[in-house]
Amino acid sequence: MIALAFALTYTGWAALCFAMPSHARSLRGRPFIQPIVVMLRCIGTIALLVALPVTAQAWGWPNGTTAWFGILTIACLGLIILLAANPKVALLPLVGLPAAAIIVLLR
Amino acid sequence: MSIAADQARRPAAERGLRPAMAELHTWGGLLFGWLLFAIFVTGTVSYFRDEISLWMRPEIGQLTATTPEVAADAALRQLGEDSVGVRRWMIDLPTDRTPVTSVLVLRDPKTGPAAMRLTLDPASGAPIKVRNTAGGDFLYYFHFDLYMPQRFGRYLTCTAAIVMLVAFVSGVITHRRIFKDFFTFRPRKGQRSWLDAHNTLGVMALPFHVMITYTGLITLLPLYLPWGIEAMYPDGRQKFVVEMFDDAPPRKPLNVAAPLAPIAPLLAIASAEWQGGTVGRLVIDNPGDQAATIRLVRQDSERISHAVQSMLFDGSNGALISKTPVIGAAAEARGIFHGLHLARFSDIWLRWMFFISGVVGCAMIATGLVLWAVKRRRNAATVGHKIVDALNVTAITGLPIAIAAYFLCNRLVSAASPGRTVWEVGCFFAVWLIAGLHAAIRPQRAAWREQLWLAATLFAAAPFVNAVTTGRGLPRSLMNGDWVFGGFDLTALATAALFAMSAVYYARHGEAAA
Amino acid sequence: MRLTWLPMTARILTGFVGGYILSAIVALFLAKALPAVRLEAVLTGAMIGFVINVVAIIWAFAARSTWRACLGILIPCALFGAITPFIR
Repeated sequence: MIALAFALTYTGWAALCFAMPSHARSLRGRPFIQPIVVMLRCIGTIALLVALPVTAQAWGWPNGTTAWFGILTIACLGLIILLAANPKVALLPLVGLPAAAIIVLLR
Repeated sequence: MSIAADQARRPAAERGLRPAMAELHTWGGLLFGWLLFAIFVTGTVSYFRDEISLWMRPEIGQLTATTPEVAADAALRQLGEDSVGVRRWMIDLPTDRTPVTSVLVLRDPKTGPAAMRLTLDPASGAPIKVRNTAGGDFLYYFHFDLYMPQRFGRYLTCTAAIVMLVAFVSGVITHRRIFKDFFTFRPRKGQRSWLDAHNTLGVMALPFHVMITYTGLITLLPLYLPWGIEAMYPDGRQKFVVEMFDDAPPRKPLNVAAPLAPIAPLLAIASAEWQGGTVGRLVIDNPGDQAATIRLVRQDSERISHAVQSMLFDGSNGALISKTPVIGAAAEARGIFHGLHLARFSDIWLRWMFFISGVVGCAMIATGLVLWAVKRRRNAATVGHKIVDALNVTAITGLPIAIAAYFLCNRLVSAASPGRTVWEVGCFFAVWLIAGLHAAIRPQRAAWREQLWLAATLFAAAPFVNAVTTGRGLPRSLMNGDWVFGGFDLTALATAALFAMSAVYYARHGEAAA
Repeated sequence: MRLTWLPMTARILTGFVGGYILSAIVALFLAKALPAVRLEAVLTGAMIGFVINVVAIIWAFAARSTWRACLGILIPCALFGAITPFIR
């Protein structure tokens, strides 16, 4: 569940990040077309918000809300570090989302 | 003189909001940056105050906490053997984080030492002979007290916190591209990189930074804004303390002997009152006297709010005298703010998240200080600039070096030495002072290089010195699942690695970094 | 006599010193004026006081002219200072 929260926030930040023209350019040479940008922004925002009930499930609402802020920070930090190293490497942790989701569903 | 040059020389306030806020942010940040860095570093370290205290008392073996009933019973049996002249027993029951019973014994000075600390085995109550050390408490108190006389340090910390909040507001106002540059970090581009780092570190943990600073002020509320208290409690602060901390003054002893009421039923009553909550502390006044009282205080790790929940019982017959009343919204809010700052409600995951956010905060301040110096490189030869450069090194590398020295001193000074607390604390300040002198004397580049490597060396040395002097080295800790010792040693190694990487990076990209 | 240092000094003093005084007066005013149990009023006043302190400092440096900066803090100080002694 905690892993799912991390995976969701990382995905959310990554989506919001690559919706931006400058970061998309560093990844694929040119920005995404506008409909894709809108979709990425929606997915990103939803992923970040959905992480909140996930943390609430893991820790309860009071501690979970606090944890949510912490996970947002750490996932953002991770993304920025990987992004600065190599934008393509920054995509690797995205596999964590389906993996974490499967683990949670199987429990 | 061109018109543009004239415009640039007008006072920032006249040039608009952003330049005015930028100037406020820059100068406020510089003047208070070194102090704020020290506060942030010692605060971040204090998230693991209990663990550090355990590491610095290696005589406490790898114990498991017992139930409050067992621990309280064992402790009281042990303490009962020496209760002549005792005014108060403050018994901290074992928890998962600190699996020992800690006792503070206050007695009439005529019958023995006025204050005495004991560490008891949780199950048997037998005293454990631990070395005399301030442990993690030194760094915790330094965090807001700054080891200054009276309450001067706390006033200074409050002022620094206000300036920090001003820095956040002015920083956000100044940061024009706060959304566009949200993920932007371009390394190896000199001043641009320092600004990127400072901005992203600030923004990514902005909720934490603002929360921790504001809640920090809340913890020192009665000190910084005491005027309401003075006005509304004209008959004395004592009543305020009683209302806020549910801490009534002790009754006078009657000098009539009476055995202490059995504790187990009282623990059960308290637990039921707190819907299954756990007792964390016993405060027993006048034990063995008919006027004895037993206060049961709830463990502070069970709720976010740090507002006290306690029950006061008569010590000779176990009757309930009082319990914490239901508190109002403002008091609950204060409790939650205070609790958020101390983060004692955290489990290990949350604690590490707070710790990492704290490190991000330290890095934000550090990059800000370096940015200030890098931006004005052409003035590097002026006295003012040299002072800033030296203070930057003293704060950013000097303080970590002093902390590492404090830990090493704990292991190197013999456990039996009576004045060893003075040695440890003295070592901390002496090393910090030497680091400052080193930074002042050496040329800037050499100062950074040498102190980064020294910090790496000292932190890397800690696990080795630990293994050699105590036999609870890293391999053994990992095999035994001793995560206090293992975690401390591993974190020390990680910190060493961080400083070493910084030293290598500085050697390679020093030109670009400056 | 060129007093070029005066505007910035005025802002610094009104912001930091005046800001604290304003926050103290507002905290005291709220402690006395709020219709609640005294512990509640005192705590509310102080918690709001911290925010006032920060806002005052920002105002002192953000205000367009030095006059607005100083009066923006001195006038509320005077107003709250005048009312507060007469509460209860």
